[in-house]
Amino acid sequence: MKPSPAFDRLEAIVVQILGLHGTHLEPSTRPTDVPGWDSLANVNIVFAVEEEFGVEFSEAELKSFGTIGEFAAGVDAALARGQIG
Amino acid sequence: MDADRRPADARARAEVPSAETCLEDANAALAAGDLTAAYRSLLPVADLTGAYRPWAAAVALLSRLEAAGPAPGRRREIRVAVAGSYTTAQLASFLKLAALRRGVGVDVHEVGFDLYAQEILDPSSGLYRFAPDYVVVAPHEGAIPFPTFSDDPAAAVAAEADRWERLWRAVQEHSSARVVQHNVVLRPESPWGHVGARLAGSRDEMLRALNAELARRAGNEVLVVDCDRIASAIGKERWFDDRYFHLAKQAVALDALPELARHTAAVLAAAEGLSAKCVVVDLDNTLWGGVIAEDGLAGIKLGAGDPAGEAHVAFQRYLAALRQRGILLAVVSKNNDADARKPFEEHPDMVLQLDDFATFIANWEDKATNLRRVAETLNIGLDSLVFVDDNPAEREVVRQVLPDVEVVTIPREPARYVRALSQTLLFEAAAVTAEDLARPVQYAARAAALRLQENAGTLDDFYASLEMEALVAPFDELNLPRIAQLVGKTNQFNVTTRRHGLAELRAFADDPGYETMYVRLRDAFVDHGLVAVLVARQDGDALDIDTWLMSCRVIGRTVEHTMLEQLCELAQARGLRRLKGTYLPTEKNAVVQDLFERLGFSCLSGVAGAESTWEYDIQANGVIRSEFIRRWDEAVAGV
Repeated sequence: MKPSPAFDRLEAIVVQILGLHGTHLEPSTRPTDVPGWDSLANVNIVFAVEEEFGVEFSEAELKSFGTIGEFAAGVDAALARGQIG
Repeated sequence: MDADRRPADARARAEVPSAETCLEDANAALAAGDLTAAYRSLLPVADLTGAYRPWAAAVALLSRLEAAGPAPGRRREIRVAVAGSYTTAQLASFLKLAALRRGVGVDVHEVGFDLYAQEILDPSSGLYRFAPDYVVVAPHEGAIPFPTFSDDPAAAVAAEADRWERLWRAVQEHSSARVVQHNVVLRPESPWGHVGARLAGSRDEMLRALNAELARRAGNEVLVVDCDRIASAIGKERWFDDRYFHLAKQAVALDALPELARHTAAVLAAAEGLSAKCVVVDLDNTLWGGVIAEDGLAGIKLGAGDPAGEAHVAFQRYLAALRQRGILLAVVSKNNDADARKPFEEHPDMVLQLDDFATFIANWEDKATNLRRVAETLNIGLDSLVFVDDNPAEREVVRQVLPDVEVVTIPREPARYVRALSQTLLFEAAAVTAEDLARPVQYAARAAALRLQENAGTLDDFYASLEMEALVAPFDELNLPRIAQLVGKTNQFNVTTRRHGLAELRAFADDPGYETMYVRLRDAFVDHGLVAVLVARQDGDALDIDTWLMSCRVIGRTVEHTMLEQLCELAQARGLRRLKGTYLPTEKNAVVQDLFERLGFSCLSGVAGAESTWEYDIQANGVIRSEFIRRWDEAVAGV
């Protein structure tokens, strides 16, 4: 998978919300492998990402994101279709 | 003009660092091992009223700091259980940050999603095992089972209020915790539209009536956070995010949570006696526009006809309202005294008058020195002062030199002063007592008494001239809120600084093994109200003083002799021979470090000035007598 333009900003949000200062995430990382990324944190991260990029995901889209890289690609796709949150 | 503005704006931006800067600085300080600096950098994030993300990041960082060590300089440690009808994990974690900003270290226990009723009603629940000092009861609108319309709204509202009151009583029965009730936030959407406001039976009106009824029943014991007002202030469409609720079962939108946490923490801080007591204001460009010494009486902006002049009048009105509810006002201004007083004496549009200020300092000394003088004159701590000055440089100096003083970052535009001061949330009160409402008069009387003291020949002449009278009585239900307020906030004349809550104080009053006592004092100038409290426990042949404190307004009036005279008599009535006392030093109670020694107690352990225990042998030394305070006829006491 080619690197997603949204990845770095998304990573910054995750690092900030979960307090993982100094940590770097890989596109292949699954949320369940990141300390503190529980279901509530997941909702909070999704909402923060949506606000940052001005997009909104459907429930089906959210379920399709298995890794952080897929999440970032989802952001790119939403931006490409010009969806405004 | 514009050229002047730009640098001023640049300074204002630097004065309040961005959340990113705070977080970066805190992270850097933590990495460098400077925990004190890390906390100092982190806490200003809690002054941000809006966005979720910096708060989430700050809370995540806070848990890393706490793992490294507790925040220095905490003023209180409390245990708070959060019992909500919705997911409150986020609120609980934000509450820690908001409370720490006010100097309160909080241990939080979060009751699981929608388990509030079970946990509160079951005396063996995890909530009670946690042994909370406060239980925050947080229902969301959906937890209130009112129909869209009721034929008998009064009965429906009463029944629902009964349900919540039963929960309060259960908390009081199963613990000594104080309840903090979040009221119900009405939704912005109503199937009724505007006609709903005209129908007592509409769900909208029933919810409003429920909030009013809960507030009425709360009395002085249950604290209420008026969430409906917070939500209105920030906008209900921002407060309710239904998509978020359905995904996370969290009824308050992420961007609204910081405000809910800040307000809840402000009410907790008030209950802990940590609210500010005095607003210290600058004059030029703060109370009026312009500089009195340069612009003259006719040149300053104050009053109708000029937008800035009207804004300054509005700010003065807000300060006058704070004063009316018991907050002291003081002036610290770099001015010649005569210039500074002139607008008060001669300007027709001044709202505040000279005698509205508990102290008035206009000179050319630095503000920090003068703020110290305000604290000394009023006998209150620096951490009870709020400093309002339009000059960012003065604010910065005070922040640096007197970190305990709360410095308000007021915007350049005077029309925004009121909101900036109000948004600090520093003036919450756990209860408003008759003493609060009378306080401004009492402080004016204190200043008059100080002048009398300067004129009196000897101290004895001074005491005699005050014509003091005291009512001494055991705790009663009517006065318990004021007693609890004093126990919660008195720092200086306080021998043990034990912060018993209202329920504990009532239990002492009911326990035959204890003597309780409060004192009301009046003198030639003023009725000071309820100013001193004592609790003693019978221990063998002695009455042992558990708690003894006095409002700083009446220190130096020999009230301590009156109280011990009464305590000696109570001991004798019980057939006891001795009084015992303990001094536990704190940063603020040095004024009583030699109290027991001065009153003729002998030291049992420790030494005066350090933690020590003392005894007074009544048989050998006789009853301690009060020379200058007459006992006030009990018949007048009920008034």
